[in-house]
Amino acid sequence: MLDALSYDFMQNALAAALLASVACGVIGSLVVVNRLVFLAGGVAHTAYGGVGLAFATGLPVLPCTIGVTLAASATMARVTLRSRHRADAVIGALWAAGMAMGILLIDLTPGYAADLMSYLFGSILAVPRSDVWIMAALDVLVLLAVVRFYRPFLAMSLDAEFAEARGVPVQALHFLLLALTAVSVVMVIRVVGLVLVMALITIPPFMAEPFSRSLARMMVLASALAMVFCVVGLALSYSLDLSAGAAIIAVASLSFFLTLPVRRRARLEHS
Amino acid sequence: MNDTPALELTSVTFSYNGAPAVQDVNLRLPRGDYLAVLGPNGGGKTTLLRLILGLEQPSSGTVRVLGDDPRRARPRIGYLQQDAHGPSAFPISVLDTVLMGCIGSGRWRPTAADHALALESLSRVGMRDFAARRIGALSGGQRQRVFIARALASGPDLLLLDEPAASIDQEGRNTLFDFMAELHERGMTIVMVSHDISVVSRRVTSVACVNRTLHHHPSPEITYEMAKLLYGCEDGECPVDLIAHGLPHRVLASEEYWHKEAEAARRNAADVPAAASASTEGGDA
Repeated sequence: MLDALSYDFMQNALAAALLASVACGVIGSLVVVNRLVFLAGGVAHTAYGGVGLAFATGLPVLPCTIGVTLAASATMARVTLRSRHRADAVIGALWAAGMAMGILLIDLTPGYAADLMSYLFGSILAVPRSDVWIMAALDVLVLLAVVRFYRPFLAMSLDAEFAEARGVPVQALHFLLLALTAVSVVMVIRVVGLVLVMALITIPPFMAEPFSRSLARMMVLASALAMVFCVVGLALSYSLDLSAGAAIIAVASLSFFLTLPVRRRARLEHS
Repeated sequence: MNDTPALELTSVTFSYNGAPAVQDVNLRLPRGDYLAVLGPNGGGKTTLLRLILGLEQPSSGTVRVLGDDPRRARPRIGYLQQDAHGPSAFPISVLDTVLMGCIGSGRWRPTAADHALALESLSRVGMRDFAARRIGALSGGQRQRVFIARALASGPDLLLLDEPAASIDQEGRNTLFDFMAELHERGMTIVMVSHDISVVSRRVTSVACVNRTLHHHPSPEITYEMAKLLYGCEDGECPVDLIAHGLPHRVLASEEYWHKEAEAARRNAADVPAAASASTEGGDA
């Protein structure tokens, strides 16, 4: 098993998985406690439009996807602030539109259709060293932002109305959180792909919540869980010749269902 | 110690989508007052609080809070909003929740002084022993006390409470109102919003009724004008409504006053049904 690590592509895959786990644990925790999972799903799927745009125009994929996803997240942030009651419908529309735009752009680009699956289900075993460095930089960016704004984020997440009444810039933080979500989502797409990105953003934080007495601990625990899922998933994928993204999510989902009975008890004991 | 009024609203109107939620509201509240704001649901009570907090800007008129612009006065306001329960699964301790009350624009990390004040606030509401507990493990009444501690944690000059008793049981309610009265005796200015008219008997010093327009009475009594705002009742019907709501007699203005007002109203209204007049007399007896 360990000899797998002598391959460059396995080293890169492991590094990418661990880096993605950090972003998923930290941003996923904020997404879960703010009940923005559906919004994060919308952001993730508009990322597909970014991938399509990169293929159609020949721009580098990662920066182009991040650009499109950031624009989509800003739009969604505006919509959710302005028309709260119909925000979910608008998110649904943007979700579908982003996806369709990606497919149409790829349709119009000759020769790339074979690569489509790798963005839907991830291509962790094909992550180049340069992308690992970009992911590391994005991780640092996300961590710096969350550490810097931890308390206002906490105030907003706990009680947005009260936070606003105390002068916390809740609207700006909402934009920032969705931008950070966009960046993290694009990172995770490399690892597990678009379709499964939601699992890594939601499952580890959801599992961590009842065992955490603070949001910070929830972030740390969720990151650790995501790392375990990624490493175990990668190992299974290597030894059983399974697709890596799906193996990681299978491990996460299985752990999630197995720990469901413990959740209720944990919440009471840890309070 | 300070002569500027705690609240000064002058001809304040605020509209949602063209329909005025509050209209031409005038209110001058001296410091140290304990005001109960009554009104039916949807009557504009919460809008009034949001205007005072600067979360909404009036369409016309001016709002001054503690002699200042509402936004600038915010750090000196303690606020407890309606249904301040939050998600019970949220991973946060009681102490950290209370520390959220010290947060302010550009002032995010709690200092040692903030910690001391947060613990003191918890002691004042009798929740000091629960500081390390998770917020989700508390009962509704205990949580409400924690949220009051949060409102007190910034050492405010003015306390705004939106339906503080709505979700707690009768015993918790008594404790809460005793605590409020004690705070008021120590000099705190309190504005308490409620849809429950019986709070007037809870040692408040003045009453305002808001149902789009506002009527303020600087003593703990319900006046005839207020009853009309509260229940939207036709002239002559109000007293029976109030009695039917189980209101303690002492919060009503004197009986002679009610008789006089009801008589005047009956004389003014030519087409009051006989049944309504009869039941009014029954209610007054």
